[in-house]
Amino acid sequence: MIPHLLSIRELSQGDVLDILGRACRLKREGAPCTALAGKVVVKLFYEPSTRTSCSFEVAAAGLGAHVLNWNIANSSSIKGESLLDTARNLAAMGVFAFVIRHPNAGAPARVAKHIGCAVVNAGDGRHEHPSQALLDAFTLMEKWGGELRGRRVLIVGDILHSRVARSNLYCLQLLGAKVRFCGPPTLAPKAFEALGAEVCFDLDEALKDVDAVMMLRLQKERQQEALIPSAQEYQRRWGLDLRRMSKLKEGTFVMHPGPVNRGLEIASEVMDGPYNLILEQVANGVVVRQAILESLQ
Amino acid sequence: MSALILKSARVIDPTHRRNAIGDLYFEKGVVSATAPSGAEILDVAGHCVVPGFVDLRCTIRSREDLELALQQGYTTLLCPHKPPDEVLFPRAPKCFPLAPLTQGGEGKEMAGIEAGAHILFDSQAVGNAGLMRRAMQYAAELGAVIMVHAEDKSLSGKGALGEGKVALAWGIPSIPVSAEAAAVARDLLLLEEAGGHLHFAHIACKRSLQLIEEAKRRGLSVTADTTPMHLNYWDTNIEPYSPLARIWPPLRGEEDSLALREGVKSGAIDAVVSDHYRRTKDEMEEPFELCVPGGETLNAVWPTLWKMEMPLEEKIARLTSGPARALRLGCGHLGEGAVADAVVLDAETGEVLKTIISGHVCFSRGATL
Repeated sequence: MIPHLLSIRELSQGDVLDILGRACRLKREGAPCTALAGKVVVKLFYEPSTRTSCSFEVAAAGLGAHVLNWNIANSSSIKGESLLDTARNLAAMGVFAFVIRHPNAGAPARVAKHIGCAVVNAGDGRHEHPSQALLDAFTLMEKWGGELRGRRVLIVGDILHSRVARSNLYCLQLLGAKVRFCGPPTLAPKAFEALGAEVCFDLDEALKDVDAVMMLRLQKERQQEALIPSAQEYQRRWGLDLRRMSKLKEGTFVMHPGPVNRGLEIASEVMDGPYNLILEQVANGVVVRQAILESLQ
Repeated sequence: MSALILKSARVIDPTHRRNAIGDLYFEKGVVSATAPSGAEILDVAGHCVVPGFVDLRCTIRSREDLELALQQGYTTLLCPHKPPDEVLFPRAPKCFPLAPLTQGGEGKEMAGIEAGAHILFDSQAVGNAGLMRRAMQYAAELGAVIMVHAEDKSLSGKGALGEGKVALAWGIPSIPVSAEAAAVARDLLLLEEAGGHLHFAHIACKRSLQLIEEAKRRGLSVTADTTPMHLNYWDTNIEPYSPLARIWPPLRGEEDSLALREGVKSGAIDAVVSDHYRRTKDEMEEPFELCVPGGETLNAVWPTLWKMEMPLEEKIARLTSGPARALRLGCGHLGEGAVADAVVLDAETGEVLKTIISGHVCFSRGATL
């Protein structure tokens, strides 16, 4: 049991295994639809999201919770209400848990510190996206007989701005896997070695001896910020296409947290290939998020 | 104006290398060489008397701020933003506004240098090197001093924390050392050509400090300060995302902080400055990056210096003669004819017991303001 889920970095291996174990049971036996009956879960989303938002909604509803959706578009935050004031007001209505997505790192942690209910981080700036990392680990464990030790996972793309990459790094490391980052030096800086990752700029080199490849979405604005010269050059040097797929060892899985830029970071033929786990990731997202909500104290 | 005699004090005046037990005479608001007649006599035996403390940058937003400054021994405050009239009170520390270097502090055109305004400061970086060079030439001719906020905005961007492992893990946009050091290097090169005197505000990086030390060795007229936050905190000894860590320039690593402490000890850093900016609840309630940078630090400078391992005279110098010389202020010493600003300190604890401004005891510990 955990009070909040703010980051993978502050979880123990036991915490992670407990959540994954619950997810396993939920997938096998189905969700007990009364686990959160009478409880209110508020989704506080300050950033657009489809996958994560829907996934949490389905997860919470499946446990019998009442889900309140609070969106930036039609809310009082446009009128200048601070995040903490919004959370205080909603908490006063009797809330079991907040699920928070925010463009700034540390926002869910601030709410957790100041408001007396459970907080689940659904992605904060470039900090962490813990539920994504847990569902990625769950998906890989299913494929690999419940064991990640000795495996190597390659994450390719804009690591610097990626909360998914950070959460996956910590989560996979906790479970005994090795993590390698690959991307342009401006987006996958060597400094990540201080957090325990291998860093490699050449994708063809990086693809050697990996068991799974996770491709990250390239945000179009990175080109305007002069972090990459052009989308074409990025696609040529760091895109995953069939030529590169052919160099991977048999059975290497391809993952993507979505949404995908088909033809940019990942070629359409790879997207539709046999080893892509993207839809399984989405499906597992629901049980893993149910496990997270269930494990909140 | 009344006269005052501080009797049997340990008088420590770094400017005149004085550290001896004796009496100090104040008459008509200045230090006098001879005992004035009919003076009030304060027996301060066993205590230290030092020049009034000088703060080179603080923002006074409320009477509370000004009272805090007085309780901390400050007699002279330089204010980048003019304090609201309603917060001033009689016998408060003297507040002097800082004049802008460029119009509206926007870094586009030189501001008119008003008569008497001899300290020029923009709290934002002056990105245009040509403009900075001309401003230096102009200021040098007038004998004005430029205080520089050293930052290259094309390198600092939207960063909120010094570059390193911690910023990477917190997921906070970070600022490389070069954002400060390249700006320091640029302005030192310009100073060589333009002449005059330059003072670097809130130096936070070891690398910048090295550049300043080297310039001093070469005889350039340059001084620098840092803040108690940068001396006491770094990215690994502070709670993640704490608004306390949201300061400007940004918090850096332990190595930088240790180098700054060495710089304060050696005198390469001439002054420790509060950069006090008391934030409202609203300004601190946002997520880390969006919090307004600042801190309640008027009460942190002297306690920080007091605890450092360096001679007492040097600790006092960083709050008196150091800042006063850096910006060519007349205060910060107790020589004959100097303004009668002084602080009585408990010699054992360092606690400020009395603050004397222009010969008046304006604060006594234990008495209400």
